[in-house]
Amino acid sequence: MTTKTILLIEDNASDIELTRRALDKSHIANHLIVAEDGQQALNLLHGTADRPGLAPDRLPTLVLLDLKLPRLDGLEVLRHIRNDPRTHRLPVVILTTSKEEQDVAASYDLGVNSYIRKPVDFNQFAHAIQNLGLYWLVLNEAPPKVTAP
Amino acid sequence: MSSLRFRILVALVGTAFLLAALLGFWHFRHLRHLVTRTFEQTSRLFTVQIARQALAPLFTENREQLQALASQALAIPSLRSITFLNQEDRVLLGPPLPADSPGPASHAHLLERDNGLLILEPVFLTALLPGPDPTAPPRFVGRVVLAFTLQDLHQEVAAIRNAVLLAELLFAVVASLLMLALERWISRPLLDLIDKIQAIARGDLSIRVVIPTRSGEITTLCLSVNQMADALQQHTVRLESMLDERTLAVQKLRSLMENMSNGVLVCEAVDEGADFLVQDLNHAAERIGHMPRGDVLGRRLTEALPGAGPTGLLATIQGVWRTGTSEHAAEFFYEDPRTRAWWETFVYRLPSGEVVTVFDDISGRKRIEESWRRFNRELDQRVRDRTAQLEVANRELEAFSYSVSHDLRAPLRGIDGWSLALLEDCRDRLDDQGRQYLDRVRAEAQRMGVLIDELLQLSRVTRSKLEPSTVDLSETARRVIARLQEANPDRQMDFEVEAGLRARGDPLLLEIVLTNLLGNACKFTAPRPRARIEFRRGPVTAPPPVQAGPPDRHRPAPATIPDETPGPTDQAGPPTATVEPPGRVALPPQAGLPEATDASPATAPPANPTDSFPGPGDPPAPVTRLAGFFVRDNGVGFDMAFAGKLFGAFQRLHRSSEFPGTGIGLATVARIIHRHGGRVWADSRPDGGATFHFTIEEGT
Repeated sequence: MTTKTILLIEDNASDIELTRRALDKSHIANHLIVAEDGQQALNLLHGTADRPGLAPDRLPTLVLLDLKLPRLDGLEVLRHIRNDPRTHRLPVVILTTSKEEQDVAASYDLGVNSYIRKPVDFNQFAHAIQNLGLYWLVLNEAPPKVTAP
Repeated sequence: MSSLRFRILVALVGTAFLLAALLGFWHFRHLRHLVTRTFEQTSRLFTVQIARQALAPLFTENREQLQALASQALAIPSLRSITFLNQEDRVLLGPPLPADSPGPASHAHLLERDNGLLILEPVFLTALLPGPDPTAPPRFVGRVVLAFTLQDLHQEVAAIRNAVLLAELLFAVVASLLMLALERWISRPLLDLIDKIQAIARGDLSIRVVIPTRSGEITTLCLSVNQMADALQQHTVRLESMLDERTLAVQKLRSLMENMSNGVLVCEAVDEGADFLVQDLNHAAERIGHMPRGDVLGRRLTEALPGAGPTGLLATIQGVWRTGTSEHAAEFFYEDPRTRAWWETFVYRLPSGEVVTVFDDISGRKRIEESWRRFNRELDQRVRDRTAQLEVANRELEAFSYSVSHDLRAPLRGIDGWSLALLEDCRDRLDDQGRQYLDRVRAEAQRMGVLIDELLQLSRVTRSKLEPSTVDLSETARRVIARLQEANPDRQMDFEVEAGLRARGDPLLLEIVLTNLLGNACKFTAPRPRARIEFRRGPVTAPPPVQAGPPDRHRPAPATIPDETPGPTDQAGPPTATVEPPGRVALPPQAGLPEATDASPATAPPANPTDSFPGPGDPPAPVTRLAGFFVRDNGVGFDMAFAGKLFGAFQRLHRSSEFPGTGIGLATVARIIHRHGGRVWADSRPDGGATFHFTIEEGT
């Protein structure tokens, strides 16, 4: 358990950098992996025809998922994560700008672990990210690893 | 009449004449008898006297003396002859006796011969001288025969007869005249009576008999006739009035029947119900059935309505005639060579046995129904089309909101984040002014974030589905107040909430309403050392618009109420009139018509009709009882001249430096209330507090 990683699925470069900056401030920056669209994230997690997915012990501890993504949107990514036996216990936190009720409801229906709305105020944002990292990487007991079939 | 009179007259005159004749006959006979007897007696007496005078001459048979006696006696005119016979019955003097005359006898004989009287008188001696033996039979000395002529007597009798005849004739005439008078006296009232009775009999019931002054049977009769006429007249009047009533009733019924829009056909059964004869029909029946009255009256139904058989009408009528159970056919297709139409028929049997068919041509109605159905189908289609368009527009709107939510906020976060990064990482390279500017950049970015959030809430308020239930507004208000007091622990605020305020609506949206109204009240009472905020039941109707003062040149341009939501209606071409929930018609704001919002600044609800567009899926505004509520504060208030802008999005009446805010709260309130079918309006004056009224369906 030396490398607790966070997978950030986010297409906005500014947000990626701000998230990284917020994680930096919480001293957890070295654990961040970034996927810039949904398909890329799924390829990373589940692999492609050319390349296998991440081994169970290399799966991220936490997925921070934006909803509005190019190609495959956040809810689809969440559905795939939950539908795949390798990742269906993976803690996923929606980190998004939207707080549309339908999005929140759909996310929880798909089995999201938490739903965080990104505040405009960076201080609040940084605070939220810091709490998130602390909670999910330190306090939370990770789910048991699913052995590959 | 004349015959009665004639008979009376004949009877009277006849009676008079008969009486006169009888009397005359009797008188005549009596007189004749009297005259004849007198004549005979006189003749006898005369004969006896002659016989006495002739005793001596006879005894002596002295013809001279007998001659003298005869001459003397023959002076009497009616004495025709005298014959003296001696005791041997030989003629001494005079003409011989007729052959058949009787012989001598002890007594006299009277014989009527040859229209004359023959008296044979025996003469006895004792008659002259009494003998020595009174008992000895007298001695017959001869006979005296006198022959009287009856000529004179007969003439006399004839004269008498004539006199009697004349007298009786006179009597008869006089009697007749008297009778005539009598008849007139008796019969005039009778005739008059007859006249009058005949007149009455002819129907002139106003005639009355003149009552004779003398009392009697005629009077009684006249009185009776008059009474009878009175009774008859009364009876007739009663009958006439009854007849009038009946006639009127019949006319009324006839008129009713004739003026009915439905056709009425009365038929009586013939051939044991195999067919029917047309007894009666009204104008509508003539028109609808194409059967002129004159052509079909008395004709068979199958001839009057040739289509009755094939279309089943006849069978229906037969069934009704047999069973007596009326039949109604809401739609019945009738057709014959003259007409084909949809009829509505009602067939029933009269107590008297005739069958009545009431029918109406409903082809027009059918056509209307058909076109109505078509119209409804088209309308349905149009509604579906529109709904589809609306759904598309709504989806676009949602996508837009979503984009706003995501894409507009993300850069703000970047602006804020990188400004902060600049402040943190390059602090030593920035002077105070630069740092201040960056703070400003961050504040503006954050403010825009709040604006976007509130705009999204306003949009959500419009789009979310209403889920109405009974809401305890008092309780909701107390919850909101608790939050407000928690958020403003340093403020002195007196809240007064009327208990038991109930309304029917979406609980979440109504809480947003009270949050905004009470929050505003809280905000705008900030300068007051002690805020006083009430929530109570209020009026249901807004006061008439108050004419604002002269136009204020410093007022912001009124026509620039922005469309807070690019709703479907705003995009669908020219603005159309929309019916506001309470039934008012309002025009959506139009560019170039600033008066629309300017002219009535105090009528808050209709001034922002854009807020009245119902959200998708809303039920149609129900016609229900509205309840009025208000939130009143003692805050800074506002100028009613600007009240028209009050409920528009981003409209603010105070500077942000005085009172922070985005100008979306009241727009949200107005939208929620309008979506609930209520109205919202405000009342205030600068520095005089403000009252915000709203109406909403009363909670049960």
